[in-house]
Amino acid sequence: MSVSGPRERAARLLRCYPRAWRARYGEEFTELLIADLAERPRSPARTADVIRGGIAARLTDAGLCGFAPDGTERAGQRARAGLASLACCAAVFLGLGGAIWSQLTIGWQWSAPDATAAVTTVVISAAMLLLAGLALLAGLPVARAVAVRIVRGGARDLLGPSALFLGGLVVMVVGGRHFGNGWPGTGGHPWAHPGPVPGGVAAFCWASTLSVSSFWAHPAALAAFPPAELTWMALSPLALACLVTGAAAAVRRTRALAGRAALRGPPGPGGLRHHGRVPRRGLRLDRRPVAATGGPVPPRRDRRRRARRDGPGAGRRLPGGAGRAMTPSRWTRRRVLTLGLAPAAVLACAAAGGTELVARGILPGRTLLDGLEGACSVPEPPLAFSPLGPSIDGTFSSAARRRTVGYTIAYPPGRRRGDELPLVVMLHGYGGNHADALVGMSPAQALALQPGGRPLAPMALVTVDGGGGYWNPHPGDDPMAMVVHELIPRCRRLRLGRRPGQIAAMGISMGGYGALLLAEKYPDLFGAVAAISPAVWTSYPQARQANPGSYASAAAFAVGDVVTHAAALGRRPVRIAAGYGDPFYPGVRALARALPPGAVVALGPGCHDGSFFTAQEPPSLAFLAGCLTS
Amino acid sequence: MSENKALDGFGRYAGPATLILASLAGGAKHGYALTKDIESFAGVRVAPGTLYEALARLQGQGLIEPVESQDRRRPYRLTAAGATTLQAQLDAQRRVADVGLRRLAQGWGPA
Repeated sequence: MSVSGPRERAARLLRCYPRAWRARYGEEFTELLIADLAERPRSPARTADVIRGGIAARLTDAGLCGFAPDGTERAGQRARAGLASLACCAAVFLGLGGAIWSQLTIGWQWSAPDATAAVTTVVISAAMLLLAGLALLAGLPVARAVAVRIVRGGARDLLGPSALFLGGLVVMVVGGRHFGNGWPGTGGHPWAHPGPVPGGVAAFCWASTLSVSSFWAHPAALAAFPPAELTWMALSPLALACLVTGAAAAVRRTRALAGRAALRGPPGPGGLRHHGRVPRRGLRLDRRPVAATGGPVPPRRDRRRRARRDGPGAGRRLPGGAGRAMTPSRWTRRRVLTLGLAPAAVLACAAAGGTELVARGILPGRTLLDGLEGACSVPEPPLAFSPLGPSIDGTFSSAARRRTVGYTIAYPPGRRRGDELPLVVMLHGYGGNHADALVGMSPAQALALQPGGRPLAPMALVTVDGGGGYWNPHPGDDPMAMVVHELIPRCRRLRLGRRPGQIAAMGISMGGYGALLLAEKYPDLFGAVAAISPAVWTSYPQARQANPGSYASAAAFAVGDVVTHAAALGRRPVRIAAGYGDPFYPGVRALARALPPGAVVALGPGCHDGSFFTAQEPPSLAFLAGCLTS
Repeated sequence: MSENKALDGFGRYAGPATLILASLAGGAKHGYALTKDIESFAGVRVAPGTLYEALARLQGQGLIEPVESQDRRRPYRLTAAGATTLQAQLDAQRRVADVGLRRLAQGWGPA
């Protein structure tokens, strides 16, 4: 026994078919289904057959294949449905083209494109411009018709869609101008900023594509955005939805499209809409729209005159409403779309918002999200080591840090204490110490690395306890002074880094920042610097929020800001590396822009995690080895 | 074979179309009656979706037409064009059947 009766089941199956088909065949088809259901209560084959038939009928309805629903050759209706399908395809293409275009222009800002990419970008820009121009031309008659109807009065059902459209448009344009037509967080659009692109044009693109280009590929970049930009970015998809919904409703409710099209079909507000019972007569291309009574609608001028005579209320229901009035079902396509789109939009917003909160670290799960996106997947480098050299652990009492600090001095393979060697000062990350300054390897292993199959040039490496104060001076604890005035003289007494320019600074995360800081403050002491995922904040409030112990004060932050003091590095060799998924990515990007030309900047996929650190250690050490021995 | 063109555009619906035309040659029938009739003489059960797809196409070609009826189950009947088409289709099928049967009777056997 089935729970629902055969009539209900038949009605459910009938829903596979489009409305026009149901209006024509619904009754008899239901009777057939009921009889069939009575005979064979369960038949998956029948269900599949009905669904297949429904899909075929819907494709036919959309003008994409087959015979017209009621069998008569209604070429006009089919042509119009086909045109509407074509318009939908063009709109989808425009959206996707915008996404691709935005990706290309963003890429342009990151690095100058090669000739092929430049040509591609220019061609796509031209195509976008052409399509946008065509869309504007196509939209003008609709806009004019809507405006005329509203001005004439008696088109109250157009007020809502128009307001929705204009509201969305205003938000988009104002938002676009807020960004100065530049991409948020990427330093401006190369053409739009000084160029002729009017405010708001780029807004249309960022609204639909920023979520793809910026949110997904580089979620960490958002951390540096001001709240106003984030608000506009959250608003823009909503505004875009309002704009599209308003425009679609306005087009449906005017007969502007149908009225101006060369092919005039039976009554319908345009688009893919079909009616309950379409008049059974062949379509003539010059036929005027048919009113509810079935009689021809008088020409436009007469209608206008009659509307004026009858007062505003008379013309309120446009001829397109006639078909609706005759429709037996309350479930008009518009209602279904509205009821279906609203929850879908809410769901999409909730999903996007949730993803954003996770990506920004407000909700837990950031690492999982990055893992799912593949943002953190860094290929493991093949690590090969020569036989290790010796290493010495020790402690000394630091006056600058007012405590005893531990250190490790590692020697390269085949060397021992007393040999004269260049020196790498390796600074550990937050929460680390002299023993674990390198990730995934010991100091002695680091010097025995064979990046690219060749051993590193011989150099010593020293690590030391620097606490959790980001290597900058704090009251009562100055790790920077400890390194410069206590550790390095100690090493020099051991014949390490004795000659000028034979000392390099290196570090990971907090240590990466520390290495840059030391090199900027003591440019004569350090001949080279390599920073892996350096902890570069873009503002003091951000630094204090993330780690209250990072700086003693805003003044200390300003003094220790490695971005604003980057010029102090002069012509010293610098290598910095960071992953797109690194929360410090915005700061590293700002630093990369501030660095003197010639600096090695390695930005790529990866996060602020061990796999990225380990992958960057061999190239960083090789870089320093090359600088110290040449 | 030119008179056979009417069913050319049916592709895989030519089978159901022939069955429907053959069934309607015996008088006007509604959907369910068509299904039962076809099942009885051809041993094939035409599923509802397929049946109505074929009906719509046949009607579009003017080979069948609906009969005015107070019944919710609308009957269809063969038009003159439908009768001609069916005749041509069945003639063609018979030619194939005749040839095949004759050759079977003459030559085929386990060698």
